[in-house]
Amino acid sequence: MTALSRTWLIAHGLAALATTRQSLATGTAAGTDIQNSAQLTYTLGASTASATSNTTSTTVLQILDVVAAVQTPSVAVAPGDLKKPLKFLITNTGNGADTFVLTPLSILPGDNFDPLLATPANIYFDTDNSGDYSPGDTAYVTGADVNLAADAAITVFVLNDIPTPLNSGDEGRSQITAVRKGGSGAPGQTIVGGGIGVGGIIVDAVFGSSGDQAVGAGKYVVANNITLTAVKTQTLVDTLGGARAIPAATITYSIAITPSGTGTATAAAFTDAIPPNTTFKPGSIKLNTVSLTDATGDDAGDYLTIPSPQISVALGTLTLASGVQTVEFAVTIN
Amino acid sequence: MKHKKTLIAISVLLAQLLGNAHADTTSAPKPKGGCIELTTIAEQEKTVTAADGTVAKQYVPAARIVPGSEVVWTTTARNLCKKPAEKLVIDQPVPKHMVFVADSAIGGGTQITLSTDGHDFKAPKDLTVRSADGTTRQAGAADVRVVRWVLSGALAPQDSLSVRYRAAVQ
Repeated sequence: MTALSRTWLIAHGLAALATTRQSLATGTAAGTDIQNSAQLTYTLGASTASATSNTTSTTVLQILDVVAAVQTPSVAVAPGDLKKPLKFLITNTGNGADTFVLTPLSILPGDNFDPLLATPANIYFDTDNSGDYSPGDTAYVTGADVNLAADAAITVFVLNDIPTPLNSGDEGRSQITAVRKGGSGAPGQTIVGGGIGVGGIIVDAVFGSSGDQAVGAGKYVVANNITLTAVKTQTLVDTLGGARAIPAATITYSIAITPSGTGTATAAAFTDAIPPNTTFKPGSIKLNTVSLTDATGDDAGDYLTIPSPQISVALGTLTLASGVQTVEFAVTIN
Repeated sequence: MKHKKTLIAISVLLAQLLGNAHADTTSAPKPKGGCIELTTIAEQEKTVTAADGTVAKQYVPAARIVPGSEVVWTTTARNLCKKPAEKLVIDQPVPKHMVFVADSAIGGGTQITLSTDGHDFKAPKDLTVRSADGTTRQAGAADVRVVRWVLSGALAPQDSLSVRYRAAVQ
């Protein structure tokens, strides 16, 4: 045996080839037969000859892989909202046709509330390809087969109702699971004869990185868009029993503060300047008809003279459920 | 006359047999009409961990593979004749659905060149590809379609030459 057949020598010069490799999507279809053979030419004395090797044949197995990717990771909601969709893209990232069953779940750890899966259906296909949950979309029948060709994807919506009461910023998670139908297994595990390749041939199937299922999860977040609106009215009573704006007459102001929207307003406070040519009437501050003192530090009401005469009422934390807050105070005309 | 014709026929047959024996004196199977037997095998490299923890590589037949895995093709040329064979050139394509693994071609005593079209063979550092816009760029491993091994010397009688390369399944 000569050195030629005794040793393998790495040829010099090949390192110069750029090492960028084409990214390998799970591209080659299951069942593809990859054949290869070599050609040889040589001389023997004065004559030239050629030879062809045998042909090797290698069959591509089916990779079973699925991805459930959330398209709307965070959806703003208000307490009491109905049928709020989370959008997912279910993709068969394997190299052969496969079948999946979809299952939603909204009771999950790590959040502030549990969204309520909508009834009677809670998974919808984006049938009209609008990209949004819309009347043209059809419901997924629980346990039904979802058939996806290799690299094919389907958009689905998971619908939840949002419970009440909730605080702004509260989060509720919901997820969808795409489970492969027809055999379960861990990544790398093989199902003998478990795949169908091109031309309908039966091939072995190997679970890819996803194993036999994929989970996509999104969350609902209670939006904080609460607004407070103040409407001020006044009542004038003069010392003569009438309603004329004359000296010593009393003006009683009533301010209705109305929360609207969702979420929580924290440390809400109302301040109002004592109008010129009037004098604050001591002990007149009220919140929701309950009298407050003028002094600072003892309750929610204050009368301040610095930097200018004004009243201040701390309203604290307000939500839509807090309802209208009514502040009153009175002044006398100088 | 009939007897004479039979003798002539036997003589021709003997001559043919002797002629064959002169061209091929080995008992090994010989390819039809040639002196060199060329065989190719497709294998996969497996890492095997023994009970004592030692790790070894094994080559197993690559009859079935999954996308992303590599196939190792080994081609062996064996000279079955009495005369040395010269100017051996082995060409092996990178099959469809496969991507050549850079730096993977080996073959003792051979000069290795690559081709992106099956016609022009160049050293890897000189291999270029013409883009659709007319510009030329350095070829990458994914551009390689054929691997060529050129034996520098002669392949002696009964000697063999093995060459190898790898490609990954897309």
